[in-house]
Amino acid sequence: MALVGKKPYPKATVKKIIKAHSNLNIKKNADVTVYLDYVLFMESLVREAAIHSKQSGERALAARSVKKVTRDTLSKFKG
Amino acid sequence: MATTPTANNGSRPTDRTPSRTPANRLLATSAEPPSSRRVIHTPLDRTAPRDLLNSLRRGTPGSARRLNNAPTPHAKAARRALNDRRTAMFTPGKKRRQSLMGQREDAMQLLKNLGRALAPKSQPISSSSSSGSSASSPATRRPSMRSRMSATIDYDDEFDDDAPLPRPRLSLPIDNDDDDEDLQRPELSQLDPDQTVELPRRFLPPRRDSDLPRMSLGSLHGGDLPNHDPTGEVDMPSEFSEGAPDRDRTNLSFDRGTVEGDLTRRSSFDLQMPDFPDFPDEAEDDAPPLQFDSPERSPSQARSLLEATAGDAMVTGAEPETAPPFGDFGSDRGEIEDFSSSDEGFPGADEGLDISGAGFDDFNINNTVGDMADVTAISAVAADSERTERTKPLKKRKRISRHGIEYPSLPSTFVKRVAQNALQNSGLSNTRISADTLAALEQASDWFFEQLGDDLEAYASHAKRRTIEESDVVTLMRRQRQVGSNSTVFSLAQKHLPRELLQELRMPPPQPVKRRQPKRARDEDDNGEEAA
Repeated sequence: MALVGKKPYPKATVKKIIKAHSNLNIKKNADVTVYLDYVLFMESLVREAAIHSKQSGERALAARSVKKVTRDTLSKFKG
Repeated sequence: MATTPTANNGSRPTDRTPSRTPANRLLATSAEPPSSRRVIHTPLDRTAPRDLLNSLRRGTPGSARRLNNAPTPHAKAARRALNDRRTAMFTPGKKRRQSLMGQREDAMQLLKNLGRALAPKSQPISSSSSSGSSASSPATRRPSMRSRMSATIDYDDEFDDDAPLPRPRLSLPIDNDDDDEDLQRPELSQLDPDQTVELPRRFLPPRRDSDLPRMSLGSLHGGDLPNHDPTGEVDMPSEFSEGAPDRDRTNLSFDRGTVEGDLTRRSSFDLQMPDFPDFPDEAEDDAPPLQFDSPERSPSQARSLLEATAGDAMVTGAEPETAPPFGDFGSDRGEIEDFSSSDEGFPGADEGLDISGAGFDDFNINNTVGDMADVTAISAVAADSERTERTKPLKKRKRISRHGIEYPSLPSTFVKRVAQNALQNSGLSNTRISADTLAALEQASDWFFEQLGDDLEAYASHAKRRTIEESDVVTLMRRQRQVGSNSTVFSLAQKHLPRELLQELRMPPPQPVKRRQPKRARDEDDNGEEAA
């Protein structure tokens, strides 16, 4: 594993979280894809939230719009 | 005449003969078969010129001509009478009449003959005992007389002889009359109480006003009243639906505070019934959330807690924003909150809707309290504890998943970094992420990982594996429509992942690069199998 000094993502934490939720072991490189999926989820969530907060007339990302959008995005990312 | 087309089946000759006028009859006899066919097949053709009457008859219900063609009993009788008349008219001699007369006379003559035959024997008293035979007996006694004189004498005799027997008969109809009167009397008696009863029914409401304690009779309205009168606070939550109790209680307090009188209280209650929706404004601060946490939560947590949380939020002023967005937010938040808090994951989304109200409380507590596992315990904590804990600093905590495994939460810096990267692409001018937003994003990412873990578990266990492989994740991404025809994992990784991770993804250390492509194909196969 060629890790740079600044680690791109908390690999162990992600693994632990997934392991806790799924009660299964995780193969070595699966977590990279999981991280990719998480990044995609975050992209879409932030995009939706940005749209929502823009519509509501705020310049920054509003927590309320994030909360509003979370549900839809989560359901979109449901496998 | 209508000639009864339906009756043709039964008795043709009799019906045909009357149908034809006498003048036509000779002609008709020659042409019987066609006419009969006409009658059978098209009854209406024949009747069309003639039968204005039939048309009138048929006109009543237009639905079924068959039924209308069927002669009514009166029509049958009339036709028979006409048939008889015509047959009587057209019979050559008058033998028939005589025969009929003979038949008619035979009844009388039989009686007369019988009376004559019995005349000598009929005198003993036994015959007089039966009044039915008495009519014949006088005739039999004096056949020569036969006059009205004898009748009068007979009546006298009857009265003399049969005094006991006819009198009961006379008395019977009298008794019947009495019975009729008896029957009428109950009717009258019924009519009277009806009138008396109807009046109080109509006047019950004013009487209720006059007599409040008694009027438990009027259960329709009174179902509300007894609650107010004796029990007051205790029975209220049980009787009323979710949102109602605190309002009712406030109503009660208002009623009791302002009006002590019975009548006026009730009337005021009726007036306040429609005002319920307005009351939460007045019901806000003091008791309601606490009191109604205790009874209400167990059966239905949803609305009461929603209202309670709304009230609390208004009190605490944690978010000074206007109420409606807060309410919306609370509901949404609650729905999603329950996923993580109950650790049931997203399959429990429906339940989340139910417990939506509880969610907001839980959210505030979940940010502070470590365990999200038990919703009920948390919601059992009163609003006061919530307020106190809200002041506590947020600390990192361990959570327990559905499987009882402790897991750490994602570091907020990581979430923030990812969100920041995403936000730069989103095109929003201000890319700063506030604390609230970050909290929301963390929450969302927690839920996302929980959902992801569940899905990956499902996929891996479906493949009968005990380890989650990359194929599972790819399958999941394909199901999420992230990987599809226009994008592959690789392209997505190239777009979103830093280079070293891309490298890692492209060439996992043990396997060479070429391993990647067949694996993808296998993944697709797996996906197809799983989709099937």
